[in-house]
Amino acid sequence: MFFKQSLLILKRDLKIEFRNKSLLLSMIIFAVLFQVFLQIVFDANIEAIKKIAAGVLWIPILLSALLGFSKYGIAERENDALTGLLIAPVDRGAIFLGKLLGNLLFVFIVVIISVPVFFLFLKQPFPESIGLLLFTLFLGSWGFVALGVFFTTLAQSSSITDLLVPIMIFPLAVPLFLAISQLTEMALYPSIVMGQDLWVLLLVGYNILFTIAPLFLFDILLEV
Amino acid sequence: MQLKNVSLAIEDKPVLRSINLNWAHGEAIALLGANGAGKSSLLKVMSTLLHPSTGKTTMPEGMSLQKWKSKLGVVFPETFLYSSLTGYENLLFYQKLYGKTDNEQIEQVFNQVNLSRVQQERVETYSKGMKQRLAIARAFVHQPTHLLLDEPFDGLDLASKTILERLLKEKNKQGVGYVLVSHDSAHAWDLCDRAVLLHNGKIVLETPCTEKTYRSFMNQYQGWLKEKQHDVF
Amino acid sequence: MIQRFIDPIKLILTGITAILIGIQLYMVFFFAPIEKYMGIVQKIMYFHVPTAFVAFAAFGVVFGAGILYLITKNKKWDYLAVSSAEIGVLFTTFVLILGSMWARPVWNTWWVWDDPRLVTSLILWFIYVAYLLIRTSVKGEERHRKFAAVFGIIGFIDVPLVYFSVLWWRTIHPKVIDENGANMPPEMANTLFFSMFAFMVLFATMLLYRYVLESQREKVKEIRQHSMSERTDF
Repeated sequence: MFFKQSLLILKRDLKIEFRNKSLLLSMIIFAVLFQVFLQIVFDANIEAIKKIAAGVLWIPILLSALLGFSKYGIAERENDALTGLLIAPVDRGAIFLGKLLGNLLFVFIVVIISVPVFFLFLKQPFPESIGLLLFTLFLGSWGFVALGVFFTTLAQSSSITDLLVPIMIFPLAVPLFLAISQLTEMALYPSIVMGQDLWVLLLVGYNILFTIAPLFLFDILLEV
Repeated sequence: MQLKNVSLAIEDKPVLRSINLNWAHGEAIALLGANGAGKSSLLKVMSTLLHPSTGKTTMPEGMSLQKWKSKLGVVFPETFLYSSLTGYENLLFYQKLYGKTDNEQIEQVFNQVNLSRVQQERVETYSKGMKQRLAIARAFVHQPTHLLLDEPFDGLDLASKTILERLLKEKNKQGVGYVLVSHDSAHAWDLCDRAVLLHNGKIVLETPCTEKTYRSFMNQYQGWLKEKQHDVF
Repeated sequence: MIQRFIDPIKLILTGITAILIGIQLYMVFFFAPIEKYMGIVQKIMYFHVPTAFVAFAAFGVVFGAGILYLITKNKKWDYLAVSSAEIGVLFTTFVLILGSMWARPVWNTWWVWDDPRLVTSLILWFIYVAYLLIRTSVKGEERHRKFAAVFGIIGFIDVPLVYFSVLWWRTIHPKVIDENGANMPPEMANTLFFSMFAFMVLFATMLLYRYVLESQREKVKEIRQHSMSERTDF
């Protein structure tokens, strides 16, 4: 029942978003554009890129995800449809999960397009450890989106939602950022392999914490 | 459903004060009162959207919270509709949300609110009255046994009003109870078994809805309204 | 009623704090010896370390009071949490300033990314500034109380994660800072411990004042709203 409800909410959100298309398209365009921008301002070439590769790869994805949080599911606020959800016999954790999966799907689509662009532009030799890179991209996006969806939903009644969300989640996400930048560096340049297990552990633990905790906290927090 | 001594404060402002109300199965209650008397807040408490600050709400026959919610149909001033989905998709979504799939039921409510013709069109193309009718259909789509209606006649034209009146009477015969919030007491009187008058968050009058009681009710009601006007000016 | 008891406590506590801080200053400047290598600047330690201690304790109070608020829904816990958070942010600001002042002559730089405590303090500062922002920008009193409580809890749980991730981040690279202070002469250690104690009492005093202020402010608001609703009553 729980998962059925999550899927129902996910399907509805996707139907609405794909009908309008503008959100997903602008997220993709923003990510690619911002990557180009970063490469230009850092004057990135193969020599220089080693130091900043992880950042150039991730920052466009994270910012694009961040811009998506407050716009995804905006239909819910239009006719106060969220109240309609809260009145229905729906587990509020299921609402969180449905929104998490939807946002995640969008971010994955951004990743699928923006990461190949990164390799294309920088003529990067194919990453040594593609498995590790995919693993990091998957869990890194997951953790950030979980954190973002949770706090965006909560901050919706704020007068400065769009600013408050990054101010809240960036400091909390420092462990996540460190883990993904380290792991990405290891995946791209396999010479550094120290402490890989430790980072993987941190990343997995962080994801579990910020996926499970909102499932329970949503019930307390989502009251009108 | 039973409310015992329910009080509600929003931002430390008292909105409801020791409300005692018993809603029997299948009973039609009209909730009347001036603006700001706490009618909508009382509906929100009954829908479990708001929790009373003090006092207790009891679900009928030991129903669980989820069970109570699944039996409840709600029409609030906001329509809860998704404007980029079609009317049909909206109803389908809300029906599934209540764990049901019954296409015939959807067809039936579309017929009842006279929207069958436009069910495949997006809600954003609907007029205000059509949206309101769809919101009513949305409240009926999971076959609730209890209805909470907050000014459902608002924004409806005469024909639609008649449709809704007929629909409510018909449902009531089938054992569906409702709480109807209205500022038009004359209109609501035809549709209720019992009228409850709220003033400043308190129940000040309770009376069965008969022609006999209407006159004395109106006298008192106008008395309250006058006092309210004195306060404002 | 409670007010009658709080007032004498406030006075006594203020007096004790003044005396303790006086003794602490005396110990720092006349009792503890001047450190051989760092010289007089090392005296910053007696303020820097206790300040950090207080900041962390303050955020601990935010965490505890947040949990208690969510369980009991008693607004008093929330008053305590917001009071403590403000003091915590203030002390964290001092920690960062004092740390920089100390680092400049000793490490020859205002800021190092290699010290996990320093970096964690900075992140802490950001987390609790966000906490205060939530309180001012989220509409609906009960909502922002609940939201802030949850954020205070999550923020505090996040602190060890930040600390260890920064530690690992930097131990993969060469580490330039040695742990200092492990073998201090007893006068120094005593002064440090006394300073920590004095600062904790200072924290308790500030918290009491701030808490009383917060509850009085809420009281005033309540009275005002009550009188307004009385007027429309009949």
